[in-house]
Amino acid sequence: MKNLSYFFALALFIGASSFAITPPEIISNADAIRNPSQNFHLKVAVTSTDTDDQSIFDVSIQGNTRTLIRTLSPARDKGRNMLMLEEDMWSYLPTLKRAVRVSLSQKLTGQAANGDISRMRWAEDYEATLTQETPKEWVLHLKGKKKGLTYDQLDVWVEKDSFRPLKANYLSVTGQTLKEASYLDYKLMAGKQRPTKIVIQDAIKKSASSILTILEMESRDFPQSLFTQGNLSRSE
Amino acid sequence: MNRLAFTLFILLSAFYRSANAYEFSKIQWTPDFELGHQLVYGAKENKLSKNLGYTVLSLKTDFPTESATDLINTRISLRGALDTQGPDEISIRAFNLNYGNNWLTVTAGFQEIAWGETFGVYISDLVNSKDLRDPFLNDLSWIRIPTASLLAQINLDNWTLQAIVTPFPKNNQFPDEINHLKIVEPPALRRDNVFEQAEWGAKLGRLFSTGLDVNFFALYHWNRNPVFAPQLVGTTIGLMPIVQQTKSTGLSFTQAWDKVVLRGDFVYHLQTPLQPDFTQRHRIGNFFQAILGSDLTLEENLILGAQYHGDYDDASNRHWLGLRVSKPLLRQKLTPELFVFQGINNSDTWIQPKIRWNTSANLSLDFEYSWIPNFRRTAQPGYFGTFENYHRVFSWLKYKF
Repeated sequence: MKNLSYFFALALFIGASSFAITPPEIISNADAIRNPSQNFHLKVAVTSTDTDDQSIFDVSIQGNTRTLIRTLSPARDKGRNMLMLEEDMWSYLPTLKRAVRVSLSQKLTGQAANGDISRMRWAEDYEATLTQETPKEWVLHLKGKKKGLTYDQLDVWVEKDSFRPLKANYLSVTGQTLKEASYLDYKLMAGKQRPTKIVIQDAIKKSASSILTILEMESRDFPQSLFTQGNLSRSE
Repeated sequence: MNRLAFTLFILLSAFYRSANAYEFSKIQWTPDFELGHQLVYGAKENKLSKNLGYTVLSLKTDFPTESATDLINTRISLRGALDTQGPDEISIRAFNLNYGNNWLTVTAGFQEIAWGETFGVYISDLVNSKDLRDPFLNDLSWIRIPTASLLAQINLDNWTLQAIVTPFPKNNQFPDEINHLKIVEPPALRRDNVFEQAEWGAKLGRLFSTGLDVNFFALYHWNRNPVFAPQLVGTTIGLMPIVQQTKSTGLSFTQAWDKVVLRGDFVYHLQTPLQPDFTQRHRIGNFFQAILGSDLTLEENLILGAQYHGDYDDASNRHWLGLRVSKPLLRQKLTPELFVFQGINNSDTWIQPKIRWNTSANLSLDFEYSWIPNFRRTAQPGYFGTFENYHRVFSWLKYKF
């Protein structure tokens, strides 16, 4: 009888282990909630406390390494498009009719960095570790696997039932919180309930914030030639 | 060009604009419209040299394709300008057909092709000739002269190969006079057959996993640098632009590390016309140009840039240093910028403070002051020898919708 108890206990342990989800899986699932897999198109509006104008961007994303951002609004900035390849980024200047190299962490508008829109998957860029767990949520620490990412480290809160990302703190290389992001207004988009409003707030100057509102999102394929510097002029 | 044509152009623009971006039989039309005004006041001679109103109409048409990974579009862009101080003009800025798939892009027709990575002086931007009538207007979208070209680009992984043919090249456009010497209309770039007169070239680029982006290029073209020979015009001496076929080869690169971007352009021109100063007789020689610069982006998009520029030919070397600072202020409504271009072993100094005012989502206004002081005289002339102690004010109003 004692042996049988050991057997059941072992089986329970093995069973529980096989169902325990790993931190990288949690982050992959949270990514799948944020965006459709692989190739997709979205239209996003950014309003900021430190600018008067609302910016609207048309974003084409192929995998995790190719992104084309077209500026639709304000009209005076039309044509100021951006291309991301791997961790490298170019901004097209209509006054030069030429693409100019910029850094991924450079400000796009308000509190939103270029990478906040162009690079929207964590799993491939960051090593995840579980730092805290409550009955309702996981808290994960993400550390960049490579250089040149928008943020060196992140702390991410993920809802257990749904894998919805709830909030994230964007950290500097020394671990100082730079910005705090909240993922809000879950709505049906591209076949799933996804966050349609992301509020990014400066961690020190709390009054400075940007709201990213996803206006449209759909899975879509693109020609690879769309994601070239030469094509930035043809995307004007 | 008469004003009736300009009026028709405005009406056509308004018609296209009213069409707005819409889908018709799955063809997507995307019109863009810009109205603007440029004013140049030469403070030294106390004279308005440009008072120009213009409109630009652009229409991009995307055609449906059977495969999602193919794209076909056309682009038409026209610019009409009225200048109280100069000629009125209508020019074609773009008129081309573009096809792209996963690995190939082909663009045929009137277009601008941009090469190079650096600011201020565009030594690698050789594919299109330039409108040099306003020597201090540095906006490439305004001064590049579009030409009918065939551009094919192959993209394979991180490699890019670009091939360009321009069968009917165009001359640079020059001002009517320099230092009170009349500029003679340059000879047409014509040869007995199209193969002899054509410009052609290629650019091979590679983006390395370290982030280093390198491009090698070679171009057979008509010389782009302004070189003149004295010529009798009636009873006075004028200047005749020298146009000659030449070969240029070079390298452009960029590398970004977080907040720092390093850029470089290096070009070697073989057996090209050279003239360090318009008062000197031109000669033919080899000519090497190098620009190496870096930008640092700090908090709140404060950008600091520094650039070294060197020209080396068979007889002399000239060096310059360029500095640029800009920062958006007042909720990003105002962006002041300062550009200083200083000759190291020549007499050039060019100081250019500038301010951009984003008055609304559609309207922006640039104010720019250019000053070429004669702080010091050196034996060697710089680029601005003929403009010593010159200053001017430039304003540019743009309304886009």
